[in-house]
Amino acid sequence: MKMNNSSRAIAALAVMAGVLLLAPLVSSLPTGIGGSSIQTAGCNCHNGVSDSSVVADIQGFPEQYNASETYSLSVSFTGGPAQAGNANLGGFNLWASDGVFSPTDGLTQLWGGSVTEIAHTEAGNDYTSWALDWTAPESGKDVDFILHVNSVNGDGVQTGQIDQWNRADYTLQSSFGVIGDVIPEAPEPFVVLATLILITLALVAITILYGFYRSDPDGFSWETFSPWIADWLTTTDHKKIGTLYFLAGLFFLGIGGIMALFIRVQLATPGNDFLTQDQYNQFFTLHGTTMIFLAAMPLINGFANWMVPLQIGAPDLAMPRLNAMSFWLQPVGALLIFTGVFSGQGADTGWTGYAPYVVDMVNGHDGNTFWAAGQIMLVASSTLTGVNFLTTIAVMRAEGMGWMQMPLFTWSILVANLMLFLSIPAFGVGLIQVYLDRVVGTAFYDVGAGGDPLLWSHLFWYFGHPEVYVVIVPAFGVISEVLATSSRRSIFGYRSMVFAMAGIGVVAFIVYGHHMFTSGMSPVLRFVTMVTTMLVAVPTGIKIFNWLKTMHGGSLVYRTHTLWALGFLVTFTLGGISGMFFPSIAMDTHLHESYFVVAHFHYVLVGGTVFGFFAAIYYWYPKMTGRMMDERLGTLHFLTAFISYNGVFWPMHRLGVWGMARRHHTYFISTDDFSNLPPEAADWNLFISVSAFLFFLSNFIMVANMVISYLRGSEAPADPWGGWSFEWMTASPPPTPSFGRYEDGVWYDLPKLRDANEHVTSEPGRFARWFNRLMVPDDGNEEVTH
Amino acid sequence: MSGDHDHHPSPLGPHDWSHGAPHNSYAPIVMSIGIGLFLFVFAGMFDYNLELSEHEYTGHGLLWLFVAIIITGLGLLIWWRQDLSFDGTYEPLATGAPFRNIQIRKVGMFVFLMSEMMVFTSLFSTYMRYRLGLRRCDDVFADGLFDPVTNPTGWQEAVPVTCFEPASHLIASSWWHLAPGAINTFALIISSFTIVQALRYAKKTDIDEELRRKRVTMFLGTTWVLAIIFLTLKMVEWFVGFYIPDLGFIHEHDIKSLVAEGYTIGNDHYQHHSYVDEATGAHMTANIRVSASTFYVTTGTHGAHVAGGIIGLTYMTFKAWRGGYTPSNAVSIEYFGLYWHFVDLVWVLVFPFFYLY
Amino acid sequence: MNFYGLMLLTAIEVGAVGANLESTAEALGMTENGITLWILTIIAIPKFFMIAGIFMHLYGDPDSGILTMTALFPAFFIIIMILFIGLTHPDASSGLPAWCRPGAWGL
Repeated sequence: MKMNNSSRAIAALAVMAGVLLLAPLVSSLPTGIGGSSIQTAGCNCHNGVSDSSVVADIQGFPEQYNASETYSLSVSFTGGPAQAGNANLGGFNLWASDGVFSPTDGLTQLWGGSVTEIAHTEAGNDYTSWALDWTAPESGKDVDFILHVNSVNGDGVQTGQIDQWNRADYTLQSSFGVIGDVIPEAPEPFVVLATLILITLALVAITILYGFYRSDPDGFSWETFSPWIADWLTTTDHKKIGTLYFLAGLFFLGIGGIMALFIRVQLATPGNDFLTQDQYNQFFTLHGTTMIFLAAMPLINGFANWMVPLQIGAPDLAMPRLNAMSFWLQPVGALLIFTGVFSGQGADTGWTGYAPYVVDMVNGHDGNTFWAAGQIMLVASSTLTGVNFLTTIAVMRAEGMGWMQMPLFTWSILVANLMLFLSIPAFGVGLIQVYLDRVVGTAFYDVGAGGDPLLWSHLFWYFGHPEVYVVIVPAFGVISEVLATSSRRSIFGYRSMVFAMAGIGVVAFIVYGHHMFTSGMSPVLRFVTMVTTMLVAVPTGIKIFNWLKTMHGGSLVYRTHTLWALGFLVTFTLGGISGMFFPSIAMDTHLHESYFVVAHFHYVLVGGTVFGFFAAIYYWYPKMTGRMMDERLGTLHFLTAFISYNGVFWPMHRLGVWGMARRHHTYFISTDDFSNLPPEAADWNLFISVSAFLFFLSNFIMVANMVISYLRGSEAPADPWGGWSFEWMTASPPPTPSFGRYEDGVWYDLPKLRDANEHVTSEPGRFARWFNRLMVPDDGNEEVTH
Repeated sequence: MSGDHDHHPSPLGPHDWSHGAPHNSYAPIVMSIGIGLFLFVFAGMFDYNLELSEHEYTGHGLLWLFVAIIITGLGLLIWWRQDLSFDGTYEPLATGAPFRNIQIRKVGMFVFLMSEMMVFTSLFSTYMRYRLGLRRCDDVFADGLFDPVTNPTGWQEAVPVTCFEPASHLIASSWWHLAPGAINTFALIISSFTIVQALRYAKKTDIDEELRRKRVTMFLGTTWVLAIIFLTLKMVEWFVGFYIPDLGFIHEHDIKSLVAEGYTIGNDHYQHHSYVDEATGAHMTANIRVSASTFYVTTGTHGAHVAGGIIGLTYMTFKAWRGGYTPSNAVSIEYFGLYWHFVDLVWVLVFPFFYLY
Repeated sequence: MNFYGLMLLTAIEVGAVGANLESTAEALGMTENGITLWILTIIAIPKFFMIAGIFMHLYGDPDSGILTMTALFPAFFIIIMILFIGLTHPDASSGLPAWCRPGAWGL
């Protein structure tokens, strides 16, 4: 049946209406969405109170348990509320971290749908002791037991003197190791991390050397190597600096991923002791700092350095040596940040570095000082980058390229850099305050002297929120380019895309308070922030609809970069939707510091930024290296990475709603009244950890693809995908200088843009005309405006 | 030189600019290493004394600090060496509206100043936040001496009060105390004027080359001297103090420095002569660490920017003395001038709000 | 010319701090600190414009339109920072007007 446009629209609306009607049926219950049972927390059963007159006891434990052996245990208690004629009877609940319980008579039963928890039956109620069997696990470590007993007062009512309960903890040691009778040494996490980092460095160095060898097998000697390496260490050419940023970013992406795997190993089972609390804090701090500042930002800068001058038809950036300075501040800053880690005293404040712990000289780690110092250098680097790019884009566009004729990637870099260098001084000032507090003893965050920790939160998030838009907006730009080229048409709604990005750029500065809702900040500010945060989703939504409409009006060609762009659309939208739960202050109070936050920001950061840059890698690799990447490996990479990625982060939404806290080194699923995660939480955590390993490994497919294609890929033409922006008009890879030549004070042969009509669909309005009159000098040299 | 592509790019300078900016330069990597080393070593030069809960200067690694400064300086020298032969013909003009025909580096300098505005805004916001949030020590003192019955909310002699003690309490207490700050204000304004004059003379096409060289050097040198005076007086005001002898028409004054008066970042039992209760002679002690921190760090950051300007001026005076400024490349004086005027602007804001209020 | 104007304004600033303004303050119902602050702010504004406009060539130069816009662009972000960071100390509510304090607007 042939459907025309209007009936398709009606069908779509009907589907949406149906979904909306059905949505209320999926209600959010106090026990969680999905209906699976949640353990009642602790011993608030029977409305009792904890009292030390009740003494709980288990008899029958061996000194150390043997594998798979069954032990008969006897649970009993004494004491409780006195009542005439009452023998202080009651009930119990026993939980073990491992092993299998089995009831031996009708007085006990397995509880909570799990074999590691046992409690009394109705028939077993009102006793003071019970017998049960426990079978030890096959292998493993110490087993923890938590026993709750409840002693009733026997009068059957719940007023007056009420039931009393108490709890006892036991730890049972195992008598054997995992292999034979030898207990293997616990791995020292920092040694493992250092080893992995050194291995990665060695691999990178070998790859670079091998690439150098293959470029000239006969001339493989120090005489040819040293000028080659000197050229790379001193270059100011935007293409080489882009490559340097790119390699550094990929390296740290790997390191950050390794740290994430440490975190996931620790969280794979409840009560794990792979990382101590102290070590865990250092790992998640460094994971966050590495990923955002040393991986995401350099990757973005790498592509910006490469593509922005090419896209605007400029021979290089405005200030090439400053560009090199921006780059070299980064590895040295990274070194500073990582010092202290291997001494076990690395920064442990979280990447957000909250005061006053970050300036705590008594309990805080020394590494916090170097964390601040390294980031000061990164702040300088970002400021210089921002200045450079803003100047370049403002003044070095090709003739005929007005603002509204620039490619969307360039626009995204412009907006991102504007946000970056206006917001990062706040962070820099905060870091200097922290550094000085720790080194010379100023009192910016010393609470005893009147310092205000909220000041750090404000300064940090004034930067921190625009920062996360800084890392996502270039991904938006990349996706616009990729989807337009893959759909074989120009992007739909170019004007609205530009205004949406500019809108995001400005509004980003007034929403930062949503990271501080639970901090005790001013209530007026909380309200303002709630409203503005809800607002900022609107321009982003406009962009998503524009991308969809681009594909709808075009004819999609499926390359690897297209697949990644489509994946981005799915995961970024999901991340954006999960983010919309946070502006509501009431919801935020519940979800704050839970895994729901972790799920949200990983969906937008990995599912957004990283996927966007995977798309960019596949899209621009031919331009940058002159070789085509292998499409089959690319599709394999996409499938494995996309599926495992969702396996990692989708279950975290559920864990967060259940109440699993973030930045906690472990979690429990006991009947402990402290945490109320169900047993499934442990299963999901294990699933996430396994998926994380798969995701990490799947990305090596892309790395292998890049290396193999560089050495053996087919030669790339200037324009392999049929793109329409300037970078596709030069050779692959482009020469130096990228366009034109400079002789005797004059630039020759710079490109000109002609016939850029397709981006502009209407005459400029009144505001635009006023703005134009204000800005454009009336020298008769009017640019192309339609 | 057209058609001659035989130039060898020099990563150490000097550089032939007729073919554009240098393709290679050792300056960035060397400077980065120097800056990183500086931050690393500086962090180790102070120890935190756990018993006294305060920082103390140990001077550990001072040698390495100098090594770091020398390395950074070497990097800067390489940068300048590549610039020395820069005769200004590589000064491309902007091609795109709305900046068309403005020099690219001028736009770059304005953009950089935008970010510097945010730096000082952050520092001012910190100051404003603490100034509004903590009670002034004057007001706390005015509460009166503690008495369990008549004045339960008063201050006690041995218990330091956490309050905001603005530096103006010391600096604006007399004309002599104010003198270094006021002279500094005049010095900066005069230096803004001299840099404008230097640019004017550098751009003049109708004068003799030798005269231009002399004038430009003189004006740039004067700016340099004034900047040095600024920093010197600031150090005097902070650390040294000065003594005016009795000259008949001027009475004797011993103006103590801020540090000598106890206005330091580590002082949590500060006493000022005006915080003495008349009736009992009890002295109010105040924990002024936050006030001192905001004061020294903000004015210190401004001072650091002046110091950066001095480093630039050193190079420029040297280049002017060598006759390096001609009408074709006088614009680089203009760029520095923009930076220098910005420094003056910040001082115009810092002086009243930190020194006078 | 500009230079002499700036010197004059600085002299007025220093004078305002040195002079005894208690009577003026009482007459206007403000503290002496408040009066001083107003005078300093009012003087700082023309100083600012004189340096930016005349020394930095932002007033009257043919190309100054776009450069002035560039220089003034951060004004929005500066105002945001001052509002959100400078004026939100938890204990700072005493000095702020009622409509800016917690409790207003039902918040």
